[in-house]
Amino acid sequence: MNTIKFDSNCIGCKLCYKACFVDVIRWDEKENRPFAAYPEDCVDCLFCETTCPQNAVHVTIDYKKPFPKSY
Amino acid sequence: MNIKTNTIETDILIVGHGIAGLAAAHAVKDEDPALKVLAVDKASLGYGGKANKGGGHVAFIPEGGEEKYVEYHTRNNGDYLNDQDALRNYAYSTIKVMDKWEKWGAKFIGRDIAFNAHPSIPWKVCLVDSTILLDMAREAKKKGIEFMDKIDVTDLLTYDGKVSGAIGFSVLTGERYIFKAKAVILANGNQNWGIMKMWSSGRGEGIGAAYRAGAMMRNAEFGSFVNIVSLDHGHVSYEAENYMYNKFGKKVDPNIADLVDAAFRNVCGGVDIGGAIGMVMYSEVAAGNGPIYENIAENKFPDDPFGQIIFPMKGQAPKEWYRPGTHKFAHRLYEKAKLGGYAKNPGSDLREIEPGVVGECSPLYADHNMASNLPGLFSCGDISANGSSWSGAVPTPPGRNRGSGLMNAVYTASVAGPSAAKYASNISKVNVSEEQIEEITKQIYAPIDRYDGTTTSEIEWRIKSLLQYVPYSNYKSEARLLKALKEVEKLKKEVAQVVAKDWHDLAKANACKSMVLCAEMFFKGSLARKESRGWHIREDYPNRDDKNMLKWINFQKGEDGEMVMSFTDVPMEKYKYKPEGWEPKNSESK
Repeated sequence: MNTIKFDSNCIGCKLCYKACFVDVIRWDEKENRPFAAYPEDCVDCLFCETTCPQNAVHVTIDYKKPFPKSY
Repeated sequence: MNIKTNTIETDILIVGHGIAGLAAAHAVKDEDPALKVLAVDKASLGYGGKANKGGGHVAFIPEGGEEKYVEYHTRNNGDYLNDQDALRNYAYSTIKVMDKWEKWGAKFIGRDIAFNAHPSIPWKVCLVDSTILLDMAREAKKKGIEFMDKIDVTDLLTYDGKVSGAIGFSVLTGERYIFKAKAVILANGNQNWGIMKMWSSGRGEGIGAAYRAGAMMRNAEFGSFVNIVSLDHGHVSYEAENYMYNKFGKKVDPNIADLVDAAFRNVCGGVDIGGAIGMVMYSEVAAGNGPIYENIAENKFPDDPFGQIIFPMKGQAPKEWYRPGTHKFAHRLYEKAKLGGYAKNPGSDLREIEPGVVGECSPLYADHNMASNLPGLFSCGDISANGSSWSGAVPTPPGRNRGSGLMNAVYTASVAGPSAAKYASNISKVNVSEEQIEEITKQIYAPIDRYDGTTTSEIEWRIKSLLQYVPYSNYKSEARLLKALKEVEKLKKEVAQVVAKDWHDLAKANACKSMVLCAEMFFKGSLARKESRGWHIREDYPNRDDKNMLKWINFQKGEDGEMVMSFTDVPMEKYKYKPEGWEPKNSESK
């Protein structure tokens, strides 16, 4: 499973939350910070990373995620 | 059920605000600025769909080249299954579409220096940056178009046989949303079964909603697009098909494999990666020559100048082609995701690859006005790329050439928008059925109330396994298709009892329903098409059968809820480009 971490220099712009098109990142309104609610659904597109203006988002990719049989 | 309900009224409801939905919204407003337009998506505005995560290629047919394109496409890609009138409409519209699209916020890169994407076919390509959706959304808001995010629209509402809105729920709070609308445009993408990464979040939800409301589906059997996937990093390895080696070190030619029947060489083709690639790789492995490897040192794709223009994973495109958003995205994908994968398994330059099923099953039927068979329902973009038949026997991108995905989305939206607007102008009152709403509500929320049943993860894995299995989805045969359909029948029963643990999972439960439905149509259509044509390849019927199979295969929900298949003859006698040796039949079937 991928992991997604958010540094403390996050400015609460919500862009990573919006950028995630598979609803992995959710927004904690109280803390005004993102959190990885469904990392199992992360497809490592890294759009959250490249969208963050603070370079505060870090995805660690699990390369052992299973891929279904082709033949 | 005690669920907070929000009821929203609008004139035109657009489901999906990716590239097609945004373009449709603009097109509606251009036709009739007084109409209220609301676009709803399960993702966030500017970031959903797939236009911002792909190559950003825009194909257009230059003036004077339109008829040559129609002929080329019919004969080489669509394999005579095209609606040639619809194809011609497309070919003659692309320049006008680009002019409109610019007014809608598109910033083209290289339009005046567009490159020829084929040595002899008149088809040019320029680019847009990954900010395209944000740019179009900004312009859309200025026109008063409204947007809502994070809402999973699951079903259409109908009254007296007309579509009069839709229903769904918030993936954040679970609240119910009832939309009353004079017309609905479905623009929420096609079916990819979630196998290949990051292609799109669309799981055919609009296809499911339309089918359950009674909409006709067509050409589902062509939704088997394949791209080479690296087993090291799990993403697409571009151009890998040109550098394939089997386990004995012998080069595997994607076009002329020793094991491929010569008959296939005439039906599989086109300038993009052809339908044969999955079959070629499977044939090698079945003969004991697998696994298949890519020589990553020979594959110069990230380095070559053309690659740096079309998807700049390495280096930088020249100034006239530079796109800051795509540059950053492509670089990160390559440097982190791809190289990271290779680094985890250090070894030789030979890296294992497989044919990754992208799918792109796009069967919602649409006529030349992008109207479905249901009054009040229209569509644009990927969802009906096959169902409109303009591209014939191929999956999306429907031109089967670089840049036709975006152009199809915006072109079809430019037709759907005015069609929906004109239809809505004749509707004075919108009615919905409370009984229908309550019945659908029970169906939507049933998984969250269930404790016993199959999980969405299990269903997702099983359906992905079914479609990724190349002997089922790419290199078909009657025996294997029947096996696949047996598994689909089991999944149909289990998806009816799926459990969801929260609202995010409830959205996955809805996606599972659509995934199983699309699999059923894909395999049933494949079984019925007893020939090989375009991307549909049958081991047991390797030749194209122009005598008996120049038909479109349709599916629709029957009175008893079961799937009903029908055939519509391709009206070849009306069309300009006919297969060699074609003769008119004496009678036509419906």
